[in-house]
Amino acid sequence: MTIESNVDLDNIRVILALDCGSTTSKARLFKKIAGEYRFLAKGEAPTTVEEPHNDVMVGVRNSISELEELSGYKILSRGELITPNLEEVGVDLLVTTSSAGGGLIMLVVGLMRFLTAESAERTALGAGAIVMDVMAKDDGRPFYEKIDVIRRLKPDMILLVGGFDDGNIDDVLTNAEIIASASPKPRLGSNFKLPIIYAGNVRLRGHIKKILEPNFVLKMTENVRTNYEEENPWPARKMIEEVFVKHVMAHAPGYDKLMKWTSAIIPTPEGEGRIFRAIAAEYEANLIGVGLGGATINVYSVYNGRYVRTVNANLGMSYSICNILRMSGYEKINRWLPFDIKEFELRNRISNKMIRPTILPQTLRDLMIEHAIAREAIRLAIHSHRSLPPGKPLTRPLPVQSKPGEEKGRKRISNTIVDISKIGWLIGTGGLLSHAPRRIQSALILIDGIEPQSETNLAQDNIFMMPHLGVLSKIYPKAAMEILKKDCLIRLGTSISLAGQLRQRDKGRIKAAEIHITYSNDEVKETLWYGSIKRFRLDDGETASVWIKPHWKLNPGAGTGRTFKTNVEGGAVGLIIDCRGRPVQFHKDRQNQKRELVDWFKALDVYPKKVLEKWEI
Amino acid sequence: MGDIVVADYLGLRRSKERRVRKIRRLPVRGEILVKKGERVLPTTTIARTIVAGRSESINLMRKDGTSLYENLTKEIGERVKRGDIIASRKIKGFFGRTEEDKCVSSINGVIDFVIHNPPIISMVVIRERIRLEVKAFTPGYVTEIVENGAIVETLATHIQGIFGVGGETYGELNVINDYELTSEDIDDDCSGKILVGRGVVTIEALRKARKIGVKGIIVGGIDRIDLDKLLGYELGVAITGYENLGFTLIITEGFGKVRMLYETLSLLKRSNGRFACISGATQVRSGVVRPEIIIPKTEFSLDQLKKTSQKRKFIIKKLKLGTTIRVIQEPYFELGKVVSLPIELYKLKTETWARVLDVELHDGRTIKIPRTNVEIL
Repeated sequence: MTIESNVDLDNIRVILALDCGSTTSKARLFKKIAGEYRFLAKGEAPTTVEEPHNDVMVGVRNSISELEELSGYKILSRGELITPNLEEVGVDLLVTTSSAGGGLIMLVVGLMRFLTAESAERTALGAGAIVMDVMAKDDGRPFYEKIDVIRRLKPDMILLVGGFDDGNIDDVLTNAEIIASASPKPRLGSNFKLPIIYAGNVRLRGHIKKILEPNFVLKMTENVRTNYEEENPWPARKMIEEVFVKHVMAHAPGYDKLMKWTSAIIPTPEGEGRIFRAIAAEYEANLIGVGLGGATINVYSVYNGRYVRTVNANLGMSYSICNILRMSGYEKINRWLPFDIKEFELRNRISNKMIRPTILPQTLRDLMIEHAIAREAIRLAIHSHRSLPPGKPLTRPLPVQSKPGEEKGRKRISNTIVDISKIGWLIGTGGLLSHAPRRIQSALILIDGIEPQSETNLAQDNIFMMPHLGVLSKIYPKAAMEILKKDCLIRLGTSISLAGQLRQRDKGRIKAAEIHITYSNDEVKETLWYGSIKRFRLDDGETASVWIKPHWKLNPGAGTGRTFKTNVEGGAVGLIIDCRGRPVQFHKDRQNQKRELVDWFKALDVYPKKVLEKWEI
Repeated sequence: MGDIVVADYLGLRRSKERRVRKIRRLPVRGEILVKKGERVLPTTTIARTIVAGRSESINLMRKDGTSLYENLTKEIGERVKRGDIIASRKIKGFFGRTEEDKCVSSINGVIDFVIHNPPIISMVVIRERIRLEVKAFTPGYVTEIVENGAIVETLATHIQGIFGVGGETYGELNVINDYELTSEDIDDDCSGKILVGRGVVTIEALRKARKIGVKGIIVGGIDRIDLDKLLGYELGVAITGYENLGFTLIITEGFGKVRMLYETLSLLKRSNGRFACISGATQVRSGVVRPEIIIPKTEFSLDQLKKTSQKRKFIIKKLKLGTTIRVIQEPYFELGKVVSLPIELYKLKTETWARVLDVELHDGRTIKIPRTNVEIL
């Protein structure tokens, strides 16, 4: 990452931030107005890093051109960036995030799958990479299959780890030999050497150098796992970021030009992660963030100060949308649809999105199908995030992570199990959530996908600019936070979800809670029935005190059956009180399922009432 | 001729003739069997090698502390088959009867090594030997020798599909003009051929095709449910090419009852009866790979190949008034002409604001479509 040494941060007036995504390049313009930085305009165009263009700058220029067209603000002159800003023309600073070409694709090679290889995987994920494969001595694959996989995957970078510092020698060297034999070629740009980061047994550095240096760009750093109890990801993470810029991005088609324009470039998930951490610090709260992308779903949690990111590289709303269908099944997607659609038709529609990822839904039915898939995708991703290693219940705590610069070996307690009832914030980002036509749609997708309990603040990325602000925060944190608070983070409101379940037949017949909401000049008293969800007006900036007396089996946050009192803040959707149970209970009967969905959507004003009434039973 | 490739909005190629370049290499070091400039056929072996596969460890130690090491019947490096006796001796069993104490191989392979350190360990390790080969896939010329393989080039009609399953295969193209390719269209004459249908293919047709020995099927579309029935599992991600189906399937338009684009069908009809090489390998994300149909020119020399420019001149078509486009999203999967390109955002039925264009369909209706939902022809 480079910083323009002649840029005076205090005199920056106009900032352009780019995200070169896997499908779309997105430009965002920010300007200093009345002493504070604000969002001004946006532009988007398909990313062009692959054939036939093979030049990321085509998509970048197209997205900037659209921004110019829609805003009237001039940024390019004959295709070149105008900088610095003068007389309302041009920009003072350009920053970039990238997940183009699928993002930073990494291969991780370690010794033991649930020891060094797992630490390396977390390290790479935390650096914003998409880990396409994790190889380990004990993964059951013969060496020639590993060689074939390495060749086929064409990673941008390899992270090689293994052996505590006084530990295994032979197997680490064997792994190095396998990589050397595979002789993988880089994915983007064929005339340079693939970078490999070695972060294993330090005693082997000389041997590793002999094996790998002749044909690769080899970088060495501290061991990610020096003992059983502790992992040390920060030096390797920092190195991944540096190598990403200097060796990967520098050789991707068109990026050499982009690097001349931009003051900083980091992977998109790294940008998102930075902003989620900033929000958690700002509000001193536990949070879960979801980045619902086309190729991947990233889940970020900051829980008791510990930041964890998981990437579901095979769950995304376009390229891997069929995986969501496969893992959830037709029934689970269908349960979110208040209309009938035959299984073969649903599968065809979803599969066409997979092979043509850039298409937009044209009808409300198509939109609702996408929203249904988004709910199930988030459910799968959250389950994976909360149950590391993937797919298995968390039966052991994660190793303690040493902080950057901290003396290693200090014993600290690390509570790694995310208690969903202690999550203060749910935040969504990504195209589908940011571009949802109604805010309540993204709020409900987050609630249905994550199933928060008790009181939770809801927010979303306004028009998808979290990665942009994340990279800006590397250079100009003040500007990034101003824009985040004023224009990016849209407060959706507060949800209070009652944990626990009653019986199916209690729906609509048994009271879930008595509610009393006191506004500054009004009050609402209401009884909510089990199985219902209700939205109360509470505008952005407004607060209200809420009193909930629940059914003796339900818990709104003070304990099962106990009265819950809290002060809540409003937002774009207001206050949502969810009495559908945790987990949410669905009718087994399809007709009742559809009727219930229509009731929920109407109660929350999620979709146009006229359309919902057509499907009413 | 120069290589002029008309690139549509999504980059799918349809080229009447171009120079097609294929890198053919092994995953590991091996023996390269061709030379630069050599003419090759699809079945020509470019490179081959032997690699180690699974291993089996056979314990020679017995409970009484003795070992069958002295009774080995095979030597290191010797080939063994499944069921072969590796070591054997006669022992006295119950009631003094003579029995055979033996060790038998459960895999085909080679005696890799023997460890004998009694009483701790005494064993034989057998390792599979797997022959790996890479073929040329297309007829043409070897233009370059590379690490573990070679580059093979040919002059051919080249068409990309949108999705496929199955690996590389070749055969005679047989264009069947029906909308739906059914089992009735498939008979014994189709064996060894690559069938082309204008519309969709049924699961019954696919099963019959596999039974009869059809090499490939190229159609406009297929129902997703039928694809999963054919595969025997549900496909999650569009990364294919390794399926062991017995034939290759390529769809050119999408899932559902979709007709093949006229331009694509015309190219294939023109090549009816000709030899074609197809691959169903698909990867719809970074490093996009689309299925291919390569119909090589019958006769050409290495000089002719070399004269044909390698640099592909892409004609990137932009949206403008009068452009013929195809809408690629339900419910309007059809052709039309651009009649207006409004700058301002438009509110769709979904309540989403998007940049749109006005399209006149063949029946005279004009509709508004998001710009992302069309492809240029």
